[in-house]
Amino acid sequence: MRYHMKVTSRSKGLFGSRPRERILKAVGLLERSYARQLAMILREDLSVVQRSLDDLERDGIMASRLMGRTRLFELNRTYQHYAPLRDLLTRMGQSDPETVEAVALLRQRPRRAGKPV
Amino acid sequence: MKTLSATSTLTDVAFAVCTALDAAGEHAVLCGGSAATYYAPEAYQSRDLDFVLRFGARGPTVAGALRPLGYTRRPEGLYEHPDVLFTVEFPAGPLAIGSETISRHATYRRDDQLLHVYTATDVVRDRFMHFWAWGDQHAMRVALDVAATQHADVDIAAIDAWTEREMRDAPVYERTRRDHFMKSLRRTVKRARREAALASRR
Repeated sequence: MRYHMKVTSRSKGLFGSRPRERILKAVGLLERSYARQLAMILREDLSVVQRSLDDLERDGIMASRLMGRTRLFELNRTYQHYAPLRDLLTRMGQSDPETVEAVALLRQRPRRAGKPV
Repeated sequence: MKTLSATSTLTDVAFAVCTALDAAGEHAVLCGGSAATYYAPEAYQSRDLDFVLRFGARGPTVAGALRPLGYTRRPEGLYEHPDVLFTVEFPAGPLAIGSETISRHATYRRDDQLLHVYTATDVVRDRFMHFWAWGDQHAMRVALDVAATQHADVDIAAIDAWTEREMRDAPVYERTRRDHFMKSLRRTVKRARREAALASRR
């Protein structure tokens, strides 16, 4: 007998909500990101992403800091389970084609200023 | 119950809040930067008090305990007082520094009030953790200031052993930062103890 996991809109995933899980997996691959970028690559409402990030920060799982006018989020390095969570999210992200595809939309490697496209 | 006013210090607020919560049956431990201020007020002034509550603490009980002190809850979970500078927050537990859960804390009494707070050693570890994880120089400075102020109670061997455990179990933090801190910590505590010994002979 084979079992299939059906992911419905009501699925809450491992982390309490689908957007929350998608955000964490994306951050697991990106290391750091901001609300608008995550909303764009995950095709989620900006308000949903912002609320999820705020909740994660309040729970001590993520931390943020201002870089210019952008609030950059990353996993909280002083969170008690930071190391195993980072490993878990990286694995979850890498094994999820949807997350890999979303993150692939972004150029992560450096690019010298003024270099032609 | 002691009343709080615009002239109340962080320590006044810490004792008042902890005592009120204790009377309501909620166990709360002062941690974070506010615990550093408790031990070294001249060196570091935090504006917010972080208390970690025991698992299962009920929000309405906490709000009810703080209301007579003048603190009311804002939607984002922060407690504010109309006259007092210091805010009160309840970060998610459990108490932990690095990957270690903190199961022991200090308890101090002042008149009929009490305060549960990180030990001086744990404050040094906690502030150092922010330097170790983020490279925050200010946090390292605070850790050393607390170590200098509380030199008699800071357990350097315990801190050293803990950093070794962290590097073994969760090898995500830089050894160079740890080595730099431990060297500074030993030097700071040694100097503070020497100065204290000299002062006691005078």
